[in-house]
Amino acid sequence: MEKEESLKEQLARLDEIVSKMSESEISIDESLSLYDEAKKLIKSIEELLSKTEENIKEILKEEDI
Amino acid sequence: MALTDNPASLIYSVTEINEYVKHLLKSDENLRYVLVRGEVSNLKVQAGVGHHYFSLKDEESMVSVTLFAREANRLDFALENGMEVIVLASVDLYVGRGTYQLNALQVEQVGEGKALADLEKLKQKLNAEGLFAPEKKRKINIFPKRIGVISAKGSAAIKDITYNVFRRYPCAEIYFFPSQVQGEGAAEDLVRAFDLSQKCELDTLIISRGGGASEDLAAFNDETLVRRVAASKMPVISAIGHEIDTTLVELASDLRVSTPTGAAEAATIDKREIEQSLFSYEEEMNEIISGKVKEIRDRVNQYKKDINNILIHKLDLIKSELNSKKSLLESLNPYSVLSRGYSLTYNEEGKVVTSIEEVNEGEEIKTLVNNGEITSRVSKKEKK
Repeated sequence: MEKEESLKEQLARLDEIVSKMSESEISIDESLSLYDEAKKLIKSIEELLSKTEENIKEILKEEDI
Repeated sequence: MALTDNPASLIYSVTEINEYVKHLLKSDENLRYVLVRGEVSNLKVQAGVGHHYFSLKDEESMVSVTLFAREANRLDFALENGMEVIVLASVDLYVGRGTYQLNALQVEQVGEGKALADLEKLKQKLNAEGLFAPEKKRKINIFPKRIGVISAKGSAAIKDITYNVFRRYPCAEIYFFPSQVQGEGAAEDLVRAFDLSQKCELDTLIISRGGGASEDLAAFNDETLVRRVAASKMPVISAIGHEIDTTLVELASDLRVSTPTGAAEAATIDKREIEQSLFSYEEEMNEIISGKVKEIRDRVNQYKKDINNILIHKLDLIKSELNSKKSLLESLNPYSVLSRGYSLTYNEEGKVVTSIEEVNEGEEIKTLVNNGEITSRVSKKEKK
């Protein structure tokens, strides 16, 4: 199983993809595959953010000391 | 025969008879210096010059006394009517008036007056030596290990002191030096007891006399005892118990109180005070610690809040960044053309077909349209 990349790494890759897609020299094959990858990345990032938010809520839900 | 018939030589003049009697008096050895005791009355002092004229009397009789200024100035007390005195005088006759009188050379007080005068003299002397000086007085240690008590055996004084010391400060030891406190030999006994006390390692020495109606305080004015007390190794508290007359021992002590109970109280701290102090220290410490704990708690809770806010803020930033990327991505979506009627064709290798070289006749191809995929076979290819 692929090791889950950090949020930082995934965001960086997303950035990269969007930059690349903006270039007009890109082939349609590449743009399609990049788009697919980007969608996957977005889904993964959103899941990660969601999980993080849950964690924070859990920790801070504890009573004040 | 009439008196006037006597010869002139037999008739004295007044002066002659006075002189004669004066001569008689003066020639009597016994009358040269006599000691006479009596009470002073009718005292007159000649203003300016200072000659004293008074009468000395007993129950039945009186005699005139003259005390010339020179002798009067040598007296260490002031002569007053009613005083009981002894005078040393020469007997004389004042020819001018025919009055017989005593010419006093020395006058001394006797009885109660004398005792008081002597005591006052002793007090002045010792005071001048500095025995009663306030700077000499030492503070009493109220946490004593050992207290000495000089008092009469079985007296109310020792009982009161013992009771009250144990009540207030039970860890103190009491060293008792019994002594006579009044009557014959009391002063010597007190000195003996005092000397004994000096051999012990005491924190404080209490000299006390209490109870009893006797007014005999003479022992506590004894010079030897007073000097001992003034030189005591340890502080002395005296509780002689008479408000009116302050004895010399009391003046020489480091502290003077009026009752034996008062002495016990001055010599010790009340353990209840200690308990009270401990209790309030405990409370204070608890408060301080509670305060510190609360301080830390509040800080930690504040950090929690801060962290919460920071994290949420960071998440929000990421989310908004992500949203803008999503928008951008959508604007570059290569699949968007499909809704406008464009389609994407894939060859058997799965590559997108952009030229007729990328397919062969008879090859199975897949065409991706907006809502699905069409599978077909190449029947003919023709270059444009």
